Parts: sequence; structure tokens; C-alpha cells
Amino acid sequence: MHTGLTVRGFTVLTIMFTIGTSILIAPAGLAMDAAQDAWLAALLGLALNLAMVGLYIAIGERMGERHLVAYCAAVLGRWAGWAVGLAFVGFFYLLSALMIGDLGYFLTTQTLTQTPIEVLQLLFICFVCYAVKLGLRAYTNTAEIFLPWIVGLFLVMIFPVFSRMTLTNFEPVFEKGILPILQGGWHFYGLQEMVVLLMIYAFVPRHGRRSGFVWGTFIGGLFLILTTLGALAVVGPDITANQLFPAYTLAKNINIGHFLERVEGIMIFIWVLTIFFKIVICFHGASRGFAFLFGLHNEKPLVVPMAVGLVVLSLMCYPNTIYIQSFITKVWTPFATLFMVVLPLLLLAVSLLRNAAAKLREPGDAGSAG
Amino acid sequence: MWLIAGLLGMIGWVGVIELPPLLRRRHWRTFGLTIVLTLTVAVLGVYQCMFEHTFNPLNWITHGFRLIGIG
Amino acid sequence: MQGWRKVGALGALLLALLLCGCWNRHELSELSLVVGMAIDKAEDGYRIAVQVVNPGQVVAQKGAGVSSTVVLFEEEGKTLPEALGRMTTRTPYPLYFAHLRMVILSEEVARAGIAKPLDYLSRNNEMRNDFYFAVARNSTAAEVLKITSPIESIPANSLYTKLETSDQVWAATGKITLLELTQDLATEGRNPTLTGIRVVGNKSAGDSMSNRQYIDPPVELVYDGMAVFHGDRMVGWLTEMDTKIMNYVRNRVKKTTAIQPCPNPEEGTVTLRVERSHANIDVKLTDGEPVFLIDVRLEQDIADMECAMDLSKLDTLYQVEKVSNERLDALLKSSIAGVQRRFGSDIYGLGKKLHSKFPREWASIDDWNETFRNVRIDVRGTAILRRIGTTLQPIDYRTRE
Repeated sequence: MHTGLTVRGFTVLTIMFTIGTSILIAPAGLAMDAAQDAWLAALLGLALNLAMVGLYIAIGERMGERHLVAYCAAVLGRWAGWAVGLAFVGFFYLLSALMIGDLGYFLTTQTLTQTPIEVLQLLFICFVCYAVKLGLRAYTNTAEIFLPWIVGLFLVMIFPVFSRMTLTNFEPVFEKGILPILQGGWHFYGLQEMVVLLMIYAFVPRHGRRSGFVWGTFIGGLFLILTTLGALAVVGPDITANQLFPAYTLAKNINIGHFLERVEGIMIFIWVLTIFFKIVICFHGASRGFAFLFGLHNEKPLVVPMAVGLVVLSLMCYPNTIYIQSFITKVWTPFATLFMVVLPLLLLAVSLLRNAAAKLREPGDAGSAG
Repeated sequence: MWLIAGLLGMIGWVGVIELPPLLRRRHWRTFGLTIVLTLTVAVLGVYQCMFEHTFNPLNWITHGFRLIGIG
Repeated sequence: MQGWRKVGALGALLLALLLCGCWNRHELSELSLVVGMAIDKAEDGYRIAVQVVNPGQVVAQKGAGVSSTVVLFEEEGKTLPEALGRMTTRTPYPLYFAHLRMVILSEEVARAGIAKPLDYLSRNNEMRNDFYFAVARNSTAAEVLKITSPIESIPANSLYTKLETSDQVWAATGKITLLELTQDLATEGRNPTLTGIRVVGNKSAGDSMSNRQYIDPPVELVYDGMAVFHGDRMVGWLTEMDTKIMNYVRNRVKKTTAIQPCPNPEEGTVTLRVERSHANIDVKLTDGEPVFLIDVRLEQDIADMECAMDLSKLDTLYQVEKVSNERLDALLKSSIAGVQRRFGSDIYGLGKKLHSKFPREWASIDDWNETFRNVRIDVRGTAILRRIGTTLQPIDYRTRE
């Protein structure tokens, strides 16, 4: 299907998606679980993500020209497929709403304290609507344009770490054994939700898209690991675990010869951008999936009401900061695993079974659907 | 309060810009679904504004997982 | 038509950029920039003083200054933020903390525990974590902020740069930021220390721009020693020498000056400039007990030689070096033993090293500070003499010749 999407564009989207909200909040959770071994937990989380990406590629290659929700219907039949597709759409929609909530709470806690949160979120949603309406190709190109900015600003944030790091902050390594690292890695991988990208995968040129997916995840993961390492080295595990937004605290330490300092406000640019793209991708996936489930030709008229619904849902879901912390640390990963692991495995298994069954019936032909 | 303004904006936008083309092209299903979604969001939004504690899907999820021993 | 759309889009973008911050806009002329904060104890809670910049007076440098460059506002409250809130009944504009440079604590507050006031400083989104702390030695904290400073028009800035400079070239003080302080408080194996500040001269004379009109100002603020903490409570003061030794061990010394007697003690004193310093802390387990080895290595130059000795001979150099080494060893030993005995507070970070190297033994220790009192600490000091300045023979030597 010619959508004008390139492998490079897809890779950039994947990088942005992986960095997403994690860059701002993940180091705290990692440090809370694994203390000075938080970086090991991050590595483990990345490894888990890459394993998941392997699974998604396996599914993706079987999808043909269908996106994930359409594929559910094709593989699982009319009714089960519809239900699973609806579950996915619900998941993507909820995820988008929660991310809008994260962004709102971040801005109102750290900088714009007197602004009502719904105003920030509604304003943001205008841009999300605009991006989704313009379509996949438009926002992918935009992502490609912004990538150098993100890399550049990120380097500005990481570079001073080298002059301020305390390597002893990483000792003693493996103090509490492997369990906290596993816990940290588990919580970390739950924040990435790479499965959403299967809504786009089918529209990427076949040649090179697999490595694009893998590389995108890997590079995005590198950003996150570097941020975690930086926070541990400069701020220390105890303080990092206690911060709501450890990347912001890390950015406060940028002081290049008393000349380049107090630039943490500009660093917000990185986070707002990566969150923006993650929300756009998730929301686009949700609206497209929704349109497909109800047999509409086009998701665009639905975008505005659904987007405003995101704000309403986020206000319903996140009453206060402590609730967010509690929910994300305790419930999110098991919940997300349903959609990141269980359902995709189900899809793959059924697809393989159907193929095998078809082959048994007619040894000459390969299966058609799935 | 600002949410209400946003909701009104949404209704206005949908009514003026989204719906007429759908009518013209006779995409009845899309038309109907758009109206349903807009109204649902508006009602939920107003409800959220008036009563701070509305239904919270995250609570249902948390309860559900507690039943099977997680969280 | 296409062109108009682009213009429209650009216009909308610009508008959106402008709108976002509207709610939280602070006009610069409507802010009280707080540069210094003083925390004293009040009957029920704290008495907080803030030093606020008076921008008009800072810029107009001609004339002795009709009004002061800074203004002090004081208020009481059960907690820090309550006092600050109540203070708005006195300040002309809302207080803005992003430029805070110094936080002065009174000794009373330090001894009672600094964890409580620190929470607000950590939690507030406006504050950064790069301001320095000091404990007032012979005055209330607010009195420290009432002294004007020569040369630098904003006293809190003067305190800030004073601390930075002395930290660079004189190891007997220590600049501690909020970040370092909270890190030390969170680490069990290391106790915080904060620099002390003393008012020298007639306190009441300091609160006036006339203090800046003298060649020899009647009042000055001087950094003096460091306060030792047990967790978040202060337990005592370190002398100048103890502070130096502590900074050596904690690898905080960049440059400093040291004196020692000549190899022939009647002749006088040699002054050395320490250019480089590195300390290594190591720990071993002997019979299940931790034994620490602190290894300090310095490189120094001769800055002043009062002895009448022939510096063209290598032997002279080695004699001076030998005295250096012995003196360093002795000072390290006595100072560290003194801290162990007097305060029982691990300000060197030995506990952290034990935690890093032997986590299991660390976990089995209940009260590290108690253990620290009696733990065996071996020291080794190495001083290497490199340069001697630009002349060869000491003037004393040549004169005698």
C-alpha cells in the first residue's frame, strides 16, 4: 500500500514512541525498585521490549495490508475478532487519555502551576486533532524534522553529566540481588506499549521495516538508559527515587561554566515533543480502529469528539498525583501486559493454527487469511 | 468551567464543520456515530465538571486485578 | 489561497505559543526576587527572613546609594511556607525564589533538626537546588542577611561568590548545595556538614549602606569552620584544621595553603601551596571488623620559605618533603580520631565505602555512627613537592650569606 511512509519515518516514529512519557518518569520508578541498579533494570526492560518487538514483527509480517484491529477480525472471526479489536481500541484510547493526564500533571506541577489543567490539555488536544487529521504521513514527516532537535537537546542535557558524575553512586552493584532488577525491568517495559505501532506497521514499505522497528526501539531505549544512568550518576539513587520528574531534576544540573545554566525550561521541549508523538500515534490508532469496527470509511469526522473525550477521560481517571503514582506502580504493568503480550500471543497462535489447519486440509495451498 | 467551554467548542465544531459534509455525502453511519460520540463526551464532561468524583475506569481495573490477587 | 492558509497556520501557531503561558505569567517588574533566606527558630515554628533585591538601586551605581540594594522582610509561622505566605502582607510583590543564592540557618534550628524546613525547599517547584547553605555562628540567621557587603552590591551574591572562591583556594570551608545536602541526609554512610558564618564587628552598624563607604568596613561576614551533623541535627563545630582534613578526605580540596615548621624548627615556617589533592578510602575486613585505610596524596609547591636553607640542594627539598609527610600523617590521624571521639559522626563517607564494598557487613550494623566512634582508621599521607615559585634561594638564606 503506497502511503508515502518510509522506513526511516517509521523508525523515527518508533524512537519517539519509545521515549514517550518514559523519559520523564521512568527513572524514578526504576530507582525505587532497584536503587543503584536501576540502570540494569532499564537494560532488562529494553531487552524485554526487544523480545516483544520480535513477537510483533512476527504478527506484523502476517498482517498483509491490514492494521492490527482489522487483523483481529480476520484471524479470530467476526464476533471474537470484533471483541478483541474493541478491547485494543479501548486500550489505545485509555492509554492516550492517561498520557494527556501525565502531561497535564507534569506541566501544572513543575511550571505552569496556576493554569487549570483542562486548559493545557484542551490546547494540546487541538494540536493532536490537527496532526491526526492531516494523517500518518504528515506527522511522520514532522517527527523526522524534530528528531535532530530532540537529539541535540538531549546531548546538551547528558553532556554535563560527565563532569558531575559520582561513579560510587553505582556501588554496590547487585546489592539486593536480581529480584529488584527484575521488578524494575518489569515495571519499565510496561510503560512502553510498543504494540500500538502494529496499527502503522502494515503501511510501512516491506523492505527494511523489521529492522526499522527493532532499531527504533533500541535507540529509544538507549535514550532512556542514558537518562537513567545520568540521573543515578549525578543525582543519586535515593534522591532519584524520590522525584516525580527525575529528568527535570537532572536537567537542573546543566551548568557549563556558569555560562549555560538554568536551561531546564528548554528541556521541557524534548518531553512535550515525545509525549505529543506518542499520543498522536496512540490516538490515531484508536480512532482508526474504532472507525474500522463500525464500518466507517474514514475516521476523520470522529477525531474531534474523541479527542475532547480524551481530556474528559483523563480528568475522570486522574484525580490527583498520588493516585497516578499508585496506579502506575501497582496496576498498570499487569493490565498492559494483557494487551502487549496475551492478546498478541493469542493472535499469533490462532493465526499459526489456522495456517497449519489449512495446510493439513490442502497440502498444496498455503492458508489465505492470517 | 474551561472544560465546558471546550465542550461547547467541540459541539460547535462538530455541528458546523464535521456534520454538513457527512450529510451531503449521505454517510449516515458516520453521521450518527459522530453525533452519538459528541453527545456522550458532552454529557460525561458536564457530569465530570459538576461532580468531581465520577466513574473512574482505573478503579474498575484496579478492583478487577485485586480479585485475582495482583495490586 | 494556498499562501493564505500558510499565513493563517503560522498566525495560529504564534498565537498558541503566546497563549500557553498566560495564566502563569509573572511580569518581571512585579516580582520580588529573593536572593537570600534566613531560618531562625521562633516560639512556635520558625522566623523566616528573606533578602529581596531592589533592582533600581542595583543598577544605579553612581552615588552612595540613596536606598539599599536589598530589603529584608521577616515573618513568623509554624512552618516555612506559612511564614512565607504571611510575609506577603509585607512584601510589595510576590516572592520569586528561582534566584535564591544562600540559605542561612541559625544554630538553634540546626541543632533542632533541619529535615523539617528542608522539605519545603525540596518540594517547591520554583526553587532550584544549586544554592548554598550556611549556619550562623554568633548571630541569628536574619542578622547575617542584614549586613551589607563591599564591592558586590547584593549581599547574598557576595556570600555566594565568597563561598565559591574560598572553596576553590582555601580548603577550610565547604560549599554545600541543596542537592548535596539532601544526598548526604539520604545516605546512611555519610553525615552532612555545613559551613559556618560569623559576623565580625558591630552587628548593628552593618545594616546600612554606610558600611560600604568605608575603606575598612566596620562589619564583615566571615566563613568560619563547619558544623557537624548527626543525621539532620547539628552536634558541634569543626575547627579550621579539622575542616581542612575533612575536605582532603572527601576529595573536595582544589587548592589550599598549608604551613609547617622548617626542618630546623627555630628558623621559622615554610608555607606550601597545595595544587592537587586526591584521597582514596579503602576498607578491609579483619576478623570480621572493618578496618579503613585513608590514603591522601598531595602535590604542593613552596610558596614561602622562612628557613635559611640552601634550596639549590635536592637534599633540602627532601627534608621539607619529609616534614610535610610526617605532619600530614599526624594531622590526619589526630583530626580523624578527634572527630570520632568528639562527635561520633561519620562526615568522611567511610560508611558509604563499607556499604559499597561489603554490603552484607553493612546490613548487619545497626547504628553506624556508634560503630564509627570505635572503628579502626589507618591513615597514610603522601606529600610531593614539585615547584618552588620563581626564585631559587630564600631571601633569608641569601641575606645571611
